[in-house]
Amino acid sequence: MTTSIFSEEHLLKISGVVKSFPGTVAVNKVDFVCKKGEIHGLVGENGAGKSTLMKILAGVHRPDKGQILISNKERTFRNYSEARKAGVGIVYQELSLLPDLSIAENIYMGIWLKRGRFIDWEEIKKKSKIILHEIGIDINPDELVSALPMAIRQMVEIAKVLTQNPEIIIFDEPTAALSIEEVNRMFKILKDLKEKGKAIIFISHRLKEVLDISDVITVMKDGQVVITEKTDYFNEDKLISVMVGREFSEIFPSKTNKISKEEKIFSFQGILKKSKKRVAFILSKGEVLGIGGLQGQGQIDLLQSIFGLGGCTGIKMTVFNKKIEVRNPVQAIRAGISLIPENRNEEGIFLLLSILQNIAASTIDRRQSWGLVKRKRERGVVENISSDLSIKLVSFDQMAQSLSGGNLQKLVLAKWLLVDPKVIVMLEPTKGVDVGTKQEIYRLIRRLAKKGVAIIVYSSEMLELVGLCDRVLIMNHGFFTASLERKKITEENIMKASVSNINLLAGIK
Amino acid sequence: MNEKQQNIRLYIPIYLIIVCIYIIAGVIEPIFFTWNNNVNLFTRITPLIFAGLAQTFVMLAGGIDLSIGAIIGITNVIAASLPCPDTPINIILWLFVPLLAGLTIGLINGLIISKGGFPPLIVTLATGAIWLGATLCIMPIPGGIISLSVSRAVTGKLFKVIPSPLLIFLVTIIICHFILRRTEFGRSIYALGGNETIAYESGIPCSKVKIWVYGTSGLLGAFSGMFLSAWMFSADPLIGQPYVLNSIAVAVISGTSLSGGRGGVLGIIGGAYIFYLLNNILNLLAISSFYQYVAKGLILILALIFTSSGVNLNIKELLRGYFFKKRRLLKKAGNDEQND
Amino acid sequence: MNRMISNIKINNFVSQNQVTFLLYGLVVLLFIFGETISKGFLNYDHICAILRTASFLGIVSIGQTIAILTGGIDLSVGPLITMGNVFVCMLINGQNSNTLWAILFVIFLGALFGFLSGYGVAYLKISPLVMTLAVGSLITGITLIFSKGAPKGLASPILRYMGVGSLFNFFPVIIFIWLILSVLCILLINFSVFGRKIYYIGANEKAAFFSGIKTNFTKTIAYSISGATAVLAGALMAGYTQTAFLGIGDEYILWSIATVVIGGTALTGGKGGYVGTIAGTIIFVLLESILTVINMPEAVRKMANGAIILILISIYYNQEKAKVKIY
Repeated sequence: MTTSIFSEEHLLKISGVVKSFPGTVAVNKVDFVCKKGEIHGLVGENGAGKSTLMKILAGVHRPDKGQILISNKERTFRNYSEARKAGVGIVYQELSLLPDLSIAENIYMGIWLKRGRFIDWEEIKKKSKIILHEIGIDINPDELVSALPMAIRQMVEIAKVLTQNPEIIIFDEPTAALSIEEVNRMFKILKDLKEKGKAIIFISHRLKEVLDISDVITVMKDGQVVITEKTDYFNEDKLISVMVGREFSEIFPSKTNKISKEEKIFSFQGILKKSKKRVAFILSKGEVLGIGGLQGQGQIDLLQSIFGLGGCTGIKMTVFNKKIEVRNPVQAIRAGISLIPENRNEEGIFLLLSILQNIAASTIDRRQSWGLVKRKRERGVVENISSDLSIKLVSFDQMAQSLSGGNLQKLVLAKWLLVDPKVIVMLEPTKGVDVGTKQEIYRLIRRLAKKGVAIIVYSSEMLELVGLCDRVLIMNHGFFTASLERKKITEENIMKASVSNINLLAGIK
Repeated sequence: MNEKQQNIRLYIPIYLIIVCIYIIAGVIEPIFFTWNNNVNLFTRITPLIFAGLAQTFVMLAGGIDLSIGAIIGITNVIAASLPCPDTPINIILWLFVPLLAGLTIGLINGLIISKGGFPPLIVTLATGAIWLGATLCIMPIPGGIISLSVSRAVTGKLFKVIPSPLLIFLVTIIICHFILRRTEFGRSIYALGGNETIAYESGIPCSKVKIWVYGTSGLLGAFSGMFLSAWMFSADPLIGQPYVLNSIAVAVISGTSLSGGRGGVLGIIGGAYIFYLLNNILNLLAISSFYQYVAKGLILILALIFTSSGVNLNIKELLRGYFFKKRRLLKKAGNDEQND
Repeated sequence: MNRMISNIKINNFVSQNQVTFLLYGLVVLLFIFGETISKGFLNYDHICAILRTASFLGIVSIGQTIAILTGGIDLSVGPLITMGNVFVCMLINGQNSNTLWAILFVIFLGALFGFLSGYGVAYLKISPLVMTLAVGSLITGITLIFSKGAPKGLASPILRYMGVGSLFNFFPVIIFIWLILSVLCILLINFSVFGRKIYYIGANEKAAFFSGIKTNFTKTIAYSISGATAVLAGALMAGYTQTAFLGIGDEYILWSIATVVIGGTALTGGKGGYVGTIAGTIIFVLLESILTVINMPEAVRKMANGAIILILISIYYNQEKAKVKIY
């Protein structure tokens, strides 16, 4: 570990920053520095705290403790606008462009150049062209953003950040959705900016890229900085081993149940729309299947298509060897498929309704007589499943809003368990869930798998896949790159497969 | 597709439709082509154009103004209730007092909506009722008086050739277009309507913009009320009521999206024209004017279908696909086969 | 332990229905207040008069409540009422024998137009505001065309009895009709599967869809119901007025929304219900009555209507904003 990393020549010094959110400490006493004309790579697992730390720097979050010093002056920011004025710019993965407006206008949003009292579009167009040219794209700035592909939009986002002439530029996962040529173009931009003397912070999961482009790398884990060293010190394996490798806690139940390979309870094949590549897999009885890989590689599209939400074409599915056709959630439920959604609050929970109503939502049609809800029966069923899952509540009539994240997730699970599903697809099943509840959910998953329910889990937490699944399929660029079983499921193997370009199913018809 | 192309795609269909209707109408009823008929039309569409402009501003910012009818009514009544008719004082008052009233009412709307954070639909529905009631208090039945010179100036002909209404609405549209294109206020409206969070993050003062957008709506509504007073030579407290629906229809037909951030004023003449053309035609053909309501409703629904984002993927693509993409699809199919 | 649980149950019931209790309390207060400023306010006849007026509004508000619960709104209730009013007179033409089928036909028409509105809102994703306005214009046109601008016809004696008469000479029929419809409505909204789905859609349409609820279909039916109840109210009004009047429904757009807002149903949907709307209706009519009694001119009363809505949304909205703190 480096001792005092601070020195006079550092443009940016972050010292002792702490930031907590309800339930977790996201950033725990972090020191971080960056020099002028330096590209500083920041890596770490999901939840390691990198994004949060950078958001603090960009003024989006306010730190509980600690200091930010830019050019040796302490700065505090109340919002992003203030950070921008102080010379900090951030390029997110989710872009902040308005698709109905032109490129030029997006670049100069809020800082419209004027001639007298009126906006000078000629000047804006001219200056936009210059900035765009500087970062290597020559397109007509009058074009509407809606007409641009994602990669170019990202360039526009960068151009937008550059208008305020920031000294420090943060790139949060800039290459996640880019092809190899587009990545090279991005790198050229970064190198140019570096030569101009900017301090660049580059957050990415793509370790090869980080090793390629950065001068210094910081690895974060569980909210703290593990190590900060010159890039020469690292190679991919070393990075991975520093990033991962924590004590295997007791929260995962043992994977002792037998997997009957002969009994295939679920099969899927289809073509992912985004990548036009073929994906297929089969589940055996008793097996918990995990889908892993870096975020945004098509896993969610794939799994959502099982539930009838689109994402794949040419789908052929069987449940217990019976062919099924699922084109919308209603048909999915009828076929015995349930989906635990990724964004609980938007897609799974009715915050303003009661716990009872939440749990009953997917099965109301089953408990009715003459169109009227059988209230007693409903309450009985809901109470039973709630106690099965040990949901902590005061009354079934209280608003769902009042529950913690873990209990909310249990609500969603309860709702879907009432459907008595044959297949359960879980997207990030323990997102925003406390450790105790995580444990309970993992045990539940094991119990269900033992009973013969097909369970498919998507998680961006590698540890979760390692501890929970009997088999893990890694997806990258919209196709499976590896299938790991039993002892081979390790964080290192998952990481390696996540950045691999080998298509497991290539050539198989 | 750049901005100019987007505008063209939006406005050409509207004007094409108008030309078609024109030709068909003229063929059926030659009176249609007379100069008099058209001048009459200019006068008739002016208040609607103003109302449409008002609603366009508000809709671009992502809101709606259901009180526009009441604003037109109250400014109409105020304009005809000013003292000393046919004197210079009256003319000056006529020029400023209703405008001020409209602006103030609009600003109040904006304040309630932006500071309170309530849905614009309900707020403007409620304030509309309040101002309508106030109008009825001031003038329970149609009446009032307008200076002769004002009436002649507004509805007459400039230099004996150019109809005043044409000049008035052309100038207003140009000014509005300029505001929307070349001022910070105008561009802030588009940003606000596009995505309020992004607009806020870009440093745009969203509260202020909202307040002034509704103020502008009130101001433009006042123009409408004033024009109506000069045209009718008197005032009617309920004169503004039909303009609530009509202004929304005109704005939607002219290409402005209800969700905000998309659209403009260049198509307003087209939208208002379609409205009155149909009415005009119905009159000339001696078809009961009751059909205008049916026509209005159907046109609005059609326009909504074509601008609604939900349908984008279905009907619109189907039609476009049929006409333009067929060739491209065939080409693509050929390429795919090569790749496999 | 059991007592604790039942205590909790009662507390929850009360706290969740606090608003409703307060509203009905307000009803009583307003009645008493009315008596203080005008003796005879609490006369049986006067109370009946107030409830009669409330009945027509209340029936319209059934549909508006359902539409708003789904997170939408129905601005076509005005034209629908007028259509019911005009068509029923035309079709009945004073004959008792025509009454039943005329009313049924007219309800069918209302449901049809409601279905059109609902289809546009649900399947074509058009904003309810404009869709219902557009359909309303359509309806206005059709009403004018068929009545040729001068509505003819007469209500039948049976219809008159429904609008103006009293059961056993003391219980107004229209209030009885409202009562029955209210019970049916509450059954539908609070006890039926359909009603539950309405709440799910209003609370979180995306989650409802993800939970396997047929959101588009349910919304369409909701607007159909709204159409049907509005037209029914208009038809019953013909019993009250004997002949038809164009524009009779115009003010009901604002009024029906007011009753729903006063009744505590959230404009964003998912919260509230018809029980609150009933109180909202009576409160609204009471306020109007009190304002009339103190000789407030109609124009000023209109202003008061708008002001009431504004005041109420600021009260309710602050509560809502304080509650909805996600995370």
